[in-house]
Amino acid sequence: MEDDKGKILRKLIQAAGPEKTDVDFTSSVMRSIQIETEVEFAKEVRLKSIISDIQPESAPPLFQRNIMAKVIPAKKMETEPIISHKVWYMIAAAALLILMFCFVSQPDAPSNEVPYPFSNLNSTVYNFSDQIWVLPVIYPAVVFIFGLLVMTDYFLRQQKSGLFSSNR
Amino acid sequence: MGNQEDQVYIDRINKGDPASYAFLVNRYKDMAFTIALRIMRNNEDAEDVAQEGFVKAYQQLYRFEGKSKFSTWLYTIIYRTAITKLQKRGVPAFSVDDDTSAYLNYGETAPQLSAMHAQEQTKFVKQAIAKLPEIDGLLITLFYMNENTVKEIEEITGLSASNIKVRLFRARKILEGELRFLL
Repeated sequence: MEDDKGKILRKLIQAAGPEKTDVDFTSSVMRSIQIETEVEFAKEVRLKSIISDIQPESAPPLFQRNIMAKVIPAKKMETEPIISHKVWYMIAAAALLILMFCFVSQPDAPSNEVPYPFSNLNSTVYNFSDQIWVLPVIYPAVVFIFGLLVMTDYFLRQQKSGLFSSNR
Repeated sequence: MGNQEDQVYIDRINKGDPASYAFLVNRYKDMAFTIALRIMRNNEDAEDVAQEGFVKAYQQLYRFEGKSKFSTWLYTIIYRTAITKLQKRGVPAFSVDDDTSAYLNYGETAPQLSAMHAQEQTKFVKQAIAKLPEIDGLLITLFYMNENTVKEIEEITGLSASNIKVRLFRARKILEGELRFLL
């Protein structure tokens, strides 16, 4: 809190006021500002001219490829066997069925003597070959159609699962 | 109100109307010159510093965010310009000798108060302030003449509040001695 002396001092100092500048002070300042502005503008024009003459840097050779590799992820090459495991299983199942039929059914002709060893095996093989020819045509046809249906189903399922995976 | 008016002109200048700066120069030139004079101690240097300070303020006007008064911001630039100029000349910015007793002219006879006109009174007060150390004279000018707060003076000079208060107190005591016949 100022005392009386302080208040009087304050009044005296305020009454004295600030120093006065010359009459042309403001015009001198504005002139200096104008000159500075013109100099800065000229520098900027010169700088722009210099920069525009410079050619941009060349990107490295594999630049675009690297970018595209990051942007578009590579599709996985899914390799599938030409004949899938399931088809093999079906073929094996069909062959097994045929074999079983051949073994189970009675042979039409007695087995002949064979000069080879393992005569039992030979007779079986001959019986099998005989049986194959005497199989009613409906059996292999059914096996064939069944195999065809199973394969068709398999391919349809593959197609469906392929659609689902592409839609994800 | 003054601050709002200043901001109107500042916005105009920032939008590309440099002529509006003349308003701000006219408004603050006297105090800016006074501040420069307190530091530089002669009119020619003070005028150079004040002009240079105004030009710098114009160039950096886009940085003025309006968090403080424009005058505070401007006087900071003036002050720093003056200090830098002093330092470039190898002159210490602050008086080395803190002994201010030399400024007390107790031996001199006080002029006759009745004979002193207002103009002479003003001149005497200014002379008394000019006798103070540079920073003390500046603080007196800002605090008493321009009525800046201690916080604003902190911003302008970079001095701490406690330092400002101590210096103000000391300077006031000196002035009270110098101007005792007026008090």
